Amino acid sequence: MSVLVISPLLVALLAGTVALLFNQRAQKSIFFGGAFIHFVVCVALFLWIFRDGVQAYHLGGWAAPLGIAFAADSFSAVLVLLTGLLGLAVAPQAIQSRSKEPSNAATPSLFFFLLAGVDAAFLTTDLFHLYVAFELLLFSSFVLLVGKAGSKERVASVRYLLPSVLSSMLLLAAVGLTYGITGTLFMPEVGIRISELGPSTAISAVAGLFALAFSLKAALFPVFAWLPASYLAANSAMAALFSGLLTKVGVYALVRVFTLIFPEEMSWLGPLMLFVAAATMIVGVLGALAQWEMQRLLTFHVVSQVGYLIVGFALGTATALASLVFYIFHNSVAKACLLLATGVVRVRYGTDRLRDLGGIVKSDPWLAGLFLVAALALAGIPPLSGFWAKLLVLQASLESEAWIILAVAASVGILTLTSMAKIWTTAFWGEESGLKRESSLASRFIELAPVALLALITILLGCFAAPAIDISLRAASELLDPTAYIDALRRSIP
Amino acid sequence: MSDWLGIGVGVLAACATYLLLCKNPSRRAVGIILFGIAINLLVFAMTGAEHSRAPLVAPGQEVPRAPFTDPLPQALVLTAIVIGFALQAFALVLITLTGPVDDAEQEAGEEQ
Repeated sequence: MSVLVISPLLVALLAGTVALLFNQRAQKSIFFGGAFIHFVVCVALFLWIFRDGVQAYHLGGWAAPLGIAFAADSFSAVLVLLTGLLGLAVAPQAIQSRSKEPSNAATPSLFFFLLAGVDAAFLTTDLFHLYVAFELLLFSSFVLLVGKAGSKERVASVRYLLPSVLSSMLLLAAVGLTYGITGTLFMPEVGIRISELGPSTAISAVAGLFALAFSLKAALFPVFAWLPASYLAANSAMAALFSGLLTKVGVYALVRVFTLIFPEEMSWLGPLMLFVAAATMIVGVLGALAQWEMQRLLTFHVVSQVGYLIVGFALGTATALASLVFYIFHNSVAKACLLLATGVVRVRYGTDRLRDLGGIVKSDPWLAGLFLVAALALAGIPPLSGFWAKLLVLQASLESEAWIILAVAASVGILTLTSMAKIWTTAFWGEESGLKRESSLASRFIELAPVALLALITILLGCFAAPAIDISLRAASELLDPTAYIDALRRSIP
Repeated sequence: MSDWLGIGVGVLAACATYLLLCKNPSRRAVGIILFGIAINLLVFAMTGAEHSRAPLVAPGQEVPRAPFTDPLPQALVLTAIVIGFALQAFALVLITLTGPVDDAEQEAGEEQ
């Protein structure tokens, strides 16, 4: 039974391998079927953790310090659920865009290996394995990003490649030094040894290396410039997947490592991260306001929204961490919904330049409605999920009396609304552009179904916020007191 | 031994940083490779290289005779070298394909 802990990882790896064996035609059904099974398994894991609490699995029957152990607490379970959901939602558009340019035969398997890397990062309890998981998802994302391989895409992918490689290397250095200091890579045990050793310069330096490596992955200020520069070249489905998962993996690793291993280091990192969070929010949203293409604007928002997550991490209280958990889920769903809607606009109108578009409300009322839901959710209008997410962040900063962050978070919310209004008034209102291409009813349905699914989830998450906030609070308390996490790992030793 | 390794890692990392900050793509590629070597050496230094004795268990004994080098970081470095090599190869191909992008061309690419 406990093998269910790593089942999302296994399903993704299996689907990726199977996809390699078949021709283009069969790959389509493997693509969607695999994404669906992966989603089902993720939901099963989430429900299991929700009912029975933290679960762990020791790979191959070797107890943890010798073997590699996986553990799923509420935080991991929420993020794995998110991975399954986004994988399923992105699959139809990814398949559709592939049938137009079937240049890259390896895409389905890379898609699944990316999911496997993300799942592994969310579930592992071994620092070196975390590094390997990062490499797995990086490799897949490089090729998925290059995809079309025009010169513009290549320039963008070089921009993506350099910071990613650099952050992996910094992570490897931090992992190596951690082993040098503590003699183990099993995260709970590393935490115990570090607290026994007491504070020292070496430990602070290693903590700083971890923070820098994960900040690069999460695209925080001042190391965020690669994200908008590279995501705009990806097709919208991949941009939705990347923005929903890859930066969040960085945030997850940051939270996991600093709650489990270096809780004492938060005394200096917390205030620093609070500044970083404010700067990330402001720079991201100002960058977004200056853009005139939908996908470019939305990728700048990815940066801005990560700032909100880091507020939760930097404050580090129970409410703050709960706000982070809720915000990650809300934001990934809303942002993926917007980017997928952008993909539909690109397919139907052949461009996403705001100046060329117009009158989508008249020509595509359904698409416009779904876009509006997600845009309002992102901006934090009640009763959508974004309202509760922002409310939790504001409440956390109120409780910690972080007034500046409170002001920044509130005003960035208004600027977010402004930039969403910019897209809405130019592309969706006004004169019809006349660019619309006619398409069959079936393909229109396939395009809109995932967007509708994600929009529905933001509505549901807003209307039934109480249970979701309960889960977030539970995840936060598990993060602050890792006894349950460590106990589950001990209990499950074969 | 460890001191020398430390100095070596520092010099390599400094050179790599300088190269990574260059505008020329091929210099940056070399920078990545040097940085990878520096980090691998750093992890390797965690073995306690000054002992330089293999962790072999003598007949009739339970544990190897101290002091010995720790084999785990060597295994980690081996994995990291393989991953890093693949990554560097991919980076090189990508940078070569992007070609000698001069500044004007690159800016034109951004405009599109």
